[in-house]
Order: sequence, then C-alpha cells, then structure tokens
Amino acid sequence: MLRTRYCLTIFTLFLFLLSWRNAAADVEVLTIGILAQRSFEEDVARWQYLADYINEELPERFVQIQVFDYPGVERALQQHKLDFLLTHPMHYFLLQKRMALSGSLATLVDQAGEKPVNAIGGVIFTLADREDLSQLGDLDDQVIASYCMNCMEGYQLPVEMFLDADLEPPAKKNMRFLGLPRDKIVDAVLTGSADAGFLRAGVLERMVEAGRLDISKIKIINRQDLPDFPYAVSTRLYPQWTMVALHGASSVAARRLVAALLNIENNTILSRAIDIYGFTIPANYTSADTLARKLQLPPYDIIKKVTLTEVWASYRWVIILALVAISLILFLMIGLFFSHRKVRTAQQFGEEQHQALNRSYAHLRTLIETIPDLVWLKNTKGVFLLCNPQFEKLFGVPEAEIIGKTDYDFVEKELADFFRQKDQAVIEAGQSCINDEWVTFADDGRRVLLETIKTPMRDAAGQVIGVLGIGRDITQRRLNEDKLRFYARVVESAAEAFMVTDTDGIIVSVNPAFTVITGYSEQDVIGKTPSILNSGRQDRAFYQKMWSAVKQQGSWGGEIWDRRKNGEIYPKWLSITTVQDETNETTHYVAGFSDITDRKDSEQQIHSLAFFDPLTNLPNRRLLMDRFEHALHVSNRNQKYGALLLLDLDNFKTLNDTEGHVVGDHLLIEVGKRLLDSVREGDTVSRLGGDEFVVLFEEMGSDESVVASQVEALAEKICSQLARPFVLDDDNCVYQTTASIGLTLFMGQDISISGLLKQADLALYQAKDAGRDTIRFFNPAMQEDIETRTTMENAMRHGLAEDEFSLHYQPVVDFSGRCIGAEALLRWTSHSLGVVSPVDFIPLAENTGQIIPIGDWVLKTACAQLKLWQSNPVTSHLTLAVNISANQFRQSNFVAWLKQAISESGIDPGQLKIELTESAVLYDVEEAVARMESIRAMGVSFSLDDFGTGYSSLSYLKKLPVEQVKIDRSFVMDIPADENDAAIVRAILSMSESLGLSVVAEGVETDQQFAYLTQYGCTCFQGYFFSRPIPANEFMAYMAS
Amino acid sequence: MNLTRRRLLLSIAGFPVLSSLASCELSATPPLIISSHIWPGYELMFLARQENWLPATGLTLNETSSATASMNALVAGEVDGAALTLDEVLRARAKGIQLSIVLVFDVSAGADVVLVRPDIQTLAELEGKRIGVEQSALGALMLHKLLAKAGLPISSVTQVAITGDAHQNFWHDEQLDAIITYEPTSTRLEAEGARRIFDSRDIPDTIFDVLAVKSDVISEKKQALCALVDGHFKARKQLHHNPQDASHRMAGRLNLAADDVLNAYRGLQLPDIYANHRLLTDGQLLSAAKNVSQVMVEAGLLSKNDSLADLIRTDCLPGHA
Repeated sequence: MLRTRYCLTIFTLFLFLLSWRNAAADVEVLTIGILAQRSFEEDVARWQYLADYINEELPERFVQIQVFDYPGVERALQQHKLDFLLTHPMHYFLLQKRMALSGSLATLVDQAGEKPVNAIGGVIFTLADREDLSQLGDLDDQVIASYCMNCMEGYQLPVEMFLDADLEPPAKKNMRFLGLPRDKIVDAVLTGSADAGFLRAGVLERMVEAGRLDISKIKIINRQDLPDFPYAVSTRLYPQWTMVALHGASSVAARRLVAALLNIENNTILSRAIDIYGFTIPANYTSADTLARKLQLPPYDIIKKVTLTEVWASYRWVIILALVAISLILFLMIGLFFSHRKVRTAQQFGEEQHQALNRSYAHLRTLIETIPDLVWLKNTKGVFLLCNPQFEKLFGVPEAEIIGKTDYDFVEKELADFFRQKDQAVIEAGQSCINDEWVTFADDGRRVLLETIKTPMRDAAGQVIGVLGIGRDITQRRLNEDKLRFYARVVESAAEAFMVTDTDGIIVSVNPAFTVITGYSEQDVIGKTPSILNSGRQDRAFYQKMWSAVKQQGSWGGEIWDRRKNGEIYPKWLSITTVQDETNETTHYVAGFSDITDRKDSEQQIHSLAFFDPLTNLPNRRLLMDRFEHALHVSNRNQKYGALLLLDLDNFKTLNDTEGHVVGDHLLIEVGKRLLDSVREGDTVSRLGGDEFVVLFEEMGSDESVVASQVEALAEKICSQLARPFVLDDDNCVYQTTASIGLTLFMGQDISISGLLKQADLALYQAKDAGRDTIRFFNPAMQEDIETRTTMENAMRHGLAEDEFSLHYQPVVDFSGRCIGAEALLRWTSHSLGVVSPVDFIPLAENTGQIIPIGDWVLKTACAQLKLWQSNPVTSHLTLAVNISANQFRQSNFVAWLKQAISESGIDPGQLKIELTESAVLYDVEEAVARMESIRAMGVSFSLDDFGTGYSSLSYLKKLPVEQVKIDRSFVMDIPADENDAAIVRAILSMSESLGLSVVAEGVETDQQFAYLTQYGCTCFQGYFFSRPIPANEFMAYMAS
Repeated sequence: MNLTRRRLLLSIAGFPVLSSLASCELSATPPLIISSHIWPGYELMFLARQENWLPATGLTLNETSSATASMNALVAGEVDGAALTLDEVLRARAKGIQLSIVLVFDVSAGADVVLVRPDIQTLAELEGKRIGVEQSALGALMLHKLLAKAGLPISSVTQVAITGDAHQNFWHDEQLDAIITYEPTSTRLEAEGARRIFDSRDIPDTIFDVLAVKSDVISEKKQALCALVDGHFKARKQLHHNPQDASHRMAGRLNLAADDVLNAYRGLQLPDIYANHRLLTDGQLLSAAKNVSQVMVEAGLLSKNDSLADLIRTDCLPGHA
C-alpha cells in the first residue's frame, strides 16, 4: 500500500508538472477536497482509490483528492483551491448560505460490515468505571475531549442532545479540542485527562475491530435505542456526508463526477478499498437548517439587538429637542397649575363661608322643626316670637298666625294666666323651671300631659329678653310610671316570695314575703347568690337541669327543698322565669316561690289515710291490693312462689266486748306490731278490718314444697309471737289470744286476687273449723270445696225464696217405743244441686251467715208445726226440738227474736226445746248462761246436742240451765261392743241422772244398742231403729201407727 | 437510554406541576383514549409519543392488532376514538357510534395493494382463486373494487378470512393465491416474490386514513385531542426533515429495516396541517365519504347511505382552535 501510494504520488506530481509545462494542455485539473474522517494517513490512502477511479472515468480531466482538517478546508476554500468538497451536512449548509452553491451532488453511503449506513450520528462516552457519569446532566463541569468545534458528529450533534434535554451545553472552557486523529480523544478519556469524549459514531467500533480498544473499558452516555443502526449512537441521526460542487467546477465536470460516483457499486474491490458502500442520490438536508437554528450556528448566530446606544446615535438631536420641548411644556403647566390654585382657593373660601352659613341656618331650622318636643319662644311680654310645627298642633294654627300673639289669644284666661305666671317666675328667677301640665291639643283634641321646661333667654349683655319653652309629651311615661308603681305594690304585698337576680346570679331585690318564708331580710341576701338557701337535698344534676331548662325554655317550675335562716328545711314550689330587654337579651332572673310545707303535710296525710289503717298504721286493704297486684306480677315474671296468710284472732270479739274497745284497739295495735316483727323486710302486713290481718309474702322461692314449709314456719312463728301474753294497760292486765291462720301459695297470675283471697279464706275457715289456734294450708282439693261452696252458697241464697227447704221430723221415743217428741231437721232439695246433705250445707250456712235467715225460717216453720201438733190431740203431747247454731245463738238479738217467733206462732213454749251444741255456749259461758236463763224464763227448754264430743269442762255443764243431754251418735254406734264407748255412755247416763238431766240417745240403730241403753237408764231414744226423719205429712201417719 | 430515563423521571417529577398548570383540564377529566393498529400513516402518532411530543397525562394510545379490534373497542365504549379508514368510520356510524373526523392521517395512493402469486398475470385469472381478505370494511371495499375492475362476480372467488397482524402467516399457511394487504406487510411479501396486481392508485380519493373521535368527546377532551393532532404533525415534519433519524426510530414498531420504513410511506400521501384543513373544509373529504358510502351500500356493506351529519370537525385545525 505504501509503495502504491508513493508511486501514485510521484505519478501525480509528474502529471502536475506536465500540466504546468503545458499551459495550454487540454487536461483540466479538478481538486476534490475531503474533510478528514479518520486520520490523515488513513483517509489520504483510502480516498486515493476514489481519485484513481474518477481519473479513469474522467479521462480528460485530472482529479486530485486532498484531505483536510477543518482549518485546512477553510483556507483552501478561501484560496478557491477546491472544485468539489465532500463534507458533513452542517458544513455543507454553512457553505450554501455563504456561497450559494448549486446543491448536493451526491450523498455518501458508508458501510458497516456489508450493510449500508445511510445516516451519521455522534457518540458520547466515558470510562466504564466512572459511576458518577451516567447521564448527560452528569457531564456538567466535566472535561470533555472532542475533535473540533466545527465537527458535526463530534461536537454539534452531542450539543443538540444537551439542548434537547434543557441542559446547558458543556462550557467552552471544559472542552478540549484535540484534532485528528480521533484516537487522541479515546486516549484522553482512557488516560483520564478528559472525563468524557465526543466522537462520531463508528469510531469506537472500528477501534475495537482493529484491536486498539477494549470495549469493556468504555461506557456510552445517552445511548439511543436504534436497533437498525450498526453503531452505538448518543445523538439524533442525520443524513450522510455530501459531495458538493463549488463555484469553480464546470457543470460538465460535475455531471461526469456525479455519474462516476453513483456508479460505484457496493461490495466491489473499489468500494472495499475506499471502505464505503457507495454514493447515492442527494439526501434531504433540511434537517441541517433546523439544527443550525437550534444551535444558533451561522447564519443564525447573530441576533440583532436593538441597543439604546444605536437609537441614541441615530436620533440624538430629535431626542434632545423633544426632551426640551416636553420639559418646557411641563414647566409651564406646573406654573399654570399653581396660580390657578391660588385663585381657586380664594374663591372656594368665600363659597365655603357662604355654604357654612346656609348650612348652619338649615341645621338649626331642621333641628327646631324635627324636634319631637314642642318648642316655642316668647318675649318678656309673653308675645310669641317663634315656634316649631309640634307647637303648632297645640294651638291648631300655623306658626305665622301664632307669632305676634299671646296665650290669651288661644287658650282660656285661667290657663293663660297660669302660663303667664310661670313665665314670669322664670324671668324673675333667672333660671329654668319644670312643671307638668295637662293640655288639650287643638288639632285633634287629645289630652296630653306635657312636661314643660322654661328657660330664660338672654341677650349678649345678659339681659333676659324672653322665655324659651320646651314641652315634652309624658303621658305615656306617666302611665308607665303608674303601672310600674302598681306592680311594685303587687309584688310587695304578695304572699308569694319573689327574688330577682342578675345574669350572674347575684340577688338584686326581694319582696317582704321572701323574708317571711326564708327568714332572711333584704340586707342579708342582696349581693349574695341564692345558694345560701340550699338545703343540700338536691344534687348538682338537679340544678344543672333546672338552669338549662331556664336558659332554653325561658322558665322552670318545680318542687325544691330549701333551708330557712333558722336551719329548718322546708319544701317550696319554685318557678323561675327570665326577663329580657328590647334586644331579647336576658337581663334578670325572677324566682317566685311559696312555702308548701302545709300542703306537703296534707298530701302525706291523705296518702296515709288512703293507704294505711289509722289504728295500726298497717297498710289497709287498698294498699294491700296494690301490693298484691305487684306481687303477682313479680311472681309471674320471676316464676317464684309467694304466699298469702290470712289471720283471724280467735276470741277478739269477746275481748272487745268484755274489756272495752280501747283495750281491743290496743290489742290490735300490738298484734300489728308483733306481726311486723315476725315478717321479713319485703313482706306486707295489713289489716283488712276488725280482727282480720293479711300477710303477703313475696318471692319465697321456686320450689313449691320448700316454700310451703318456709311459709308454714313463718306462720308458726307468728303464732308463737301472738301466743305471748299482751300487756295492754297500765293496770298490769295480761291478755292472751290466739289466731287462726289460713295460708295459700301463689305463683304467676293464673288465679286472681279475689280467688287467692277465697283460697286463703277457705284455709282459714278450715283452721277455725279444726278448733282454732291452728294453721291450715289451702290445697287444690280445697279449690273444689271453694267451688262447691260457692255453688252451694249461691243455691242456698235462692233456696229460701224458692221453698227448697223443708223440715223433717225424727221421732224421739221412750223405752216403750212410744213417740214422745221429735227433732226438727232441716232438709234442702236444691233445684240445681238436688238433695244436699245438711252436713254439707249447714256449716257453709253458718260461715256465710245465711244460717240466720235459714234459722229464722226453721224456727218459724217448727213453731208453726208445733202449733199444728198442739191443736191435734194425737200430737199435742209432743215436744219439738229445734237445732240452733252457735252463730244464731250468739246473735245479740237472739232472745228477742225467739220471743217474737214464739208469740207470733202462738205456741205454748213449754213444748219447744232448743238444741245447742257445746261450742255454741263455750265461747262466752257467762253470756250463754244469761241468755239461756232468759229463754228458760219464757218456758223454752234446752238440750245439749252432741254431748261428749266437745272439749268442754263439766263445770260448765253445772252452770248451764239445761234439761236434757243428747248422747252423740258416735258413742251409741259402737255399744255395747266398744268398751270405751260403753263406759262413756254409762258415765253420761249416770252423771245425767245425778244432775237431774234427761238423756236422749241419738243414732240408735240396733236392738242391742237399745237394750244396752235401756239397761243403763236411758229413757229417750232417737234413731233409725225407730224412724228416720220424715216430713210433716208423713209424721201424722207415723203417729197413727 | 439515559435520555429517555431522564425524560421519564422528569415527566414523573413534572406531573404535579403539570397538573397545576393550565392543563389542569387534562388531568381532571378522564384521559382521551385513542385506538390504533400498526399502519405507517398512524405510526407518526407513535413516533410523537416516543419523542415525548405528546402530553404525559390525559392521552392514551391504545395499541390494537387490527382495525377490527379498534372498531370493537369503540363499540364496547372502551375508547373515545380510533385511527380508522373512512369506510370503517361509516361502518361504525351505521352501528350507532356518533363519530366525527378530526384529522386525515394519509391518503392511500398505492399503499393498499392486492398481491398475487407470481404465476397470476391478469385480473381475469383471479377467477376461482383463493383470495385472502380482512373481515373489515377496507378489505371488503378493496375486494369489491378489485372484482369490479376484473369484471368478476363476488362468488367467483373464494374469500379466506385473514387477520390484520398476521397477513404474512396467512400468505404462507393458507395457500392463498392472492391477498389484499397493505404496508408494511406488502413490502415484505413483495420482497418474497409476490406481485402487485392492483393497488389504491387504481381507486384514488377513496381510501382515507383518518382520526375519528366520538362527537361528544371532542369538546370534552379538546386539549388532549389537539395535543395529539399537533404531535402527529410534528412527527410528520421530523419524517420529512430528517428521514434518517425518523425512520430509524420508527423501524422497531413497524418491524422493518430503517431504509424500508421510508419505502413504506411511498404509497401514502401525508397531508400537512394546511392540506388537512383544505381536505376537511373544502368538501373534498365529504364528497369522498359520499362516494364511499354509495359504494358500500352497493357492496352490501352498509344498509343505507350515511347522513354525513357531523362527520367532519375542524376543532383541532388552525382557524378553529
């Protein structure tokens, strides 16, 4: 290669010499300038092949190729040494602008491997281990190596990327332009003398290929992702280098050159030698223009700025003249302005004075006319000088007609005199005075109370020249004052206390009633807060609620307990209201209260009376019912048993009658106390009335049997408590009593209160029936009893009216079987129940008290029957025994009633016997004896029924005026077999004989009985052995037989 | 790489700033979503996107595989507009989607082709042959026009359905005798030996590739839309002024060598902003639409002529900003 070069150079030189010698030679010399791309040596070598080729193609010309660096090209261009130039697009653009070239002839096509490269680009690189340099921005203030400033790929394209990224391009001081060869730039970076380098794309790859560079040492900054471009590139791509024709070249030569260039085929020896792909038609170089503008390269590097200096230079005199003129005008204007101002000021002053005067006159006039008060002016003689429209209304005429006249022209003489007098007084006193006058307005006739101020008017010398009068309508004010006085009076005299506080709660005023109720005088409380009245009974929350109600609703009312000055706590009814001013702002609080102690006491009393027994202070029936309802409800809810205890004092009536009501009451009180002691906290002890007490046990438990035993235990306790002697009076009298108790349990609300009471009542009845001083439980079986009882009770009520009752007569016979008398026995055939045994209905009748009317009927019927018998000789000897129940016997009017029955019937009382049971008389033996005596006195005799069955003492028997004793059937039944009964019977018979009493044996049913009885002296007999009880009509038949 | 990363970082950092600027409208309303498949005429939008000449927010380009897919996205309401041919726009409007054309991307003058196997010399030889055609309005239109020129009835050819992204595959696998295709596939197939027998130069002013947007969205998202239009024109300028740079940058998405990219634009006229204005306001596009509509009705592609109401909107062109 070297040799070829050498030869070629020699040859070229020779040809040149030839051409120089032959001045008129017909060989044209063309010089193609080529901007160096690689290194001088390399470029000269490779481009020589092109020169050779062109020379072949253009035989009549001699083409030489010169390789330049940039400064070299410039020089060559200046010296017009070049005909054609192969350069980069930016340079081409610059030249075009400078010299108006014909345009691009052909565009170079580089090659990479065997592929054409139709674009150029620049690469920015640095050392691979420079961690701090990875983006364009990192290159700020770094030293950058480049080939040359005018180099497109190696400088201008990288700078474009900086500008596109809105970064400042590297400062000139940081750039190191190293020139050719481009290896220098790589070395600079590798050695570290430069931080980064700008190169045309492809150089690095070529160096690597040539083994002159280890690519791992290098890294690319701002690498573009262009997979189709063979080289690493950091910039935009631009069109390839171009061959241009400069001025000197002939068009023919240009055409031939272009043809030759375009004919170069790729991948031929030639192209490979030159190391290009070939040439192609000119590319589109408008991008160069765009880039030049962007980089502000020539011709876009000069931006004309219009400077002030230029302007000054060109328009100097005009400006000066203008400035002078302007300042002159300004000066004159200012002068004019000031003189004008002076004139204006003077003028204005005069104007102002005038205005002020007018204004004050207008003001005064307006003042007088708009004053709502009456204003007038009189001179010392009383002549009107001036008045305002309000005053006009008083006289009813306009001002013009008032001026010059006096009061005498308008009002009555007396009034005018009065006015004159007052005016004089003012003139003489020399000072103002005020008085009230009632006047009548002439314009509408209204009467107004006028408060008049009269003031003397003086002149400059101080002499009084007239009187100024100002009158104010104070009618409303006077009315208001009166009203105020009235209400103040009302408050003062009220029985209710009033207390006014301000919004801070400080008391500002109180009325006399306040002192009466609280005990605090006005001085005691003014300036303090109402908290001095607090009793402490209400808590904080109460007061908070109270005040919030006051604040929100404007008032509050309620009951409150306060403390008087003497410490006494009392209830009061308090109401608090707010007082607001015109803006609806609260200004005061008014509290009114009254002492409701008495009312409270009354309430308490009423409550007591309503619900408590006044004697014992136990809850009464009403309260009991209330509690009972609650107890049932609770029992239902909690599913727990409660118990109802009905208690009846056994011998209270006797005590009451014998010892007196005072003692009786005392006893009841004590019983009540003892009951209270015997029960638990939650249980209710109440007095129903008389000697009946009820105890209500609540929530005993859920197990019925357990509860039952608990209740029984409680009842026992009560009994034992009551069994203790009572000391009632001071006279050391000790009383004993017992009680009968009926108990029932309840759970839930299945049975009503009245039902439960009935149950307890039945149980009580059972207790009584069992002999008193005992406790009986109601049991469900008894419920039937209740029902039966109720049914029977109801039926019985109708029984008498419906003639359902009848008397049967059981004969009483003597030892021979002859009938000597009869016992009347009650029979009842109920329409609804059928035949009801006396065993069933008589105890019920006795309990319900129905025994009285029934007994009455029985006696009357019996007497009537006896009367019939007494009229009949067959039966006239018969005695009739009538059973009288204990109830009946104990009736206070029994004796009288009996007497009446006897007399009404007209019977001979001697044949009437009254059968009594032992219990009838045992209750109150003394009383019983007395009664029996009086009845005996009537002629009626007594028989002691069911003798032997009671627990009576034989001593009583001695006392009782009884003629007959009836041996109870229970003894007769088992004789003579039962030894005990036989013994008893014998005893009775023996005793009776000793006492002189006759004996009737009841229930004789067998012969043996009859025989035995007869043996031991019984004389009268009754029983089925002889006859069952038979109706009256059958009796006659019986007697006949 | 660094540049783009920096760009990305800047755009992320700039996002809140961006939102508070006058383009707060952009971020407040939902983004404008435009559907587009790969077509040289539409590719300029994507170059603009690549070069960050489109706004970072408020605009999304939805890449689809074919015009059919873009249409479906429109029908489904997933997108506000799409890059479509004029006949596709009329088809969509017939379906009830109220579209308006705001921009003409390109006019096909040779870019839509009918390629045949080398052994077919004349149009008449197409009789009885298998012809691959997209199930789109454009495909049907091209076929209709082709057969009209060949003088053959529809039934004379066997239509084989092909999809937009796989023309090459269909050409190879389905033993097609002819295929109705377009750039960039056509260049590739021609490189393999396929012959061009008919192209859009035979039917001038028929195939317009336009940007069609739902009429009610235009005013709503005007800022984003006009930014897209501006981006397209900027990319177009770049392509014209620096074809080397532009072609290299588009080579990846078009899947062509950089040099071939420029070839792909050979068959397309790219109207600039003024040409667009003329097309849209001088009635050229409107009369073309009328003709196309007529053809489509005849070909049975439309049931009735389009009313052409509100077909053209010049909101994003100069004089109508």
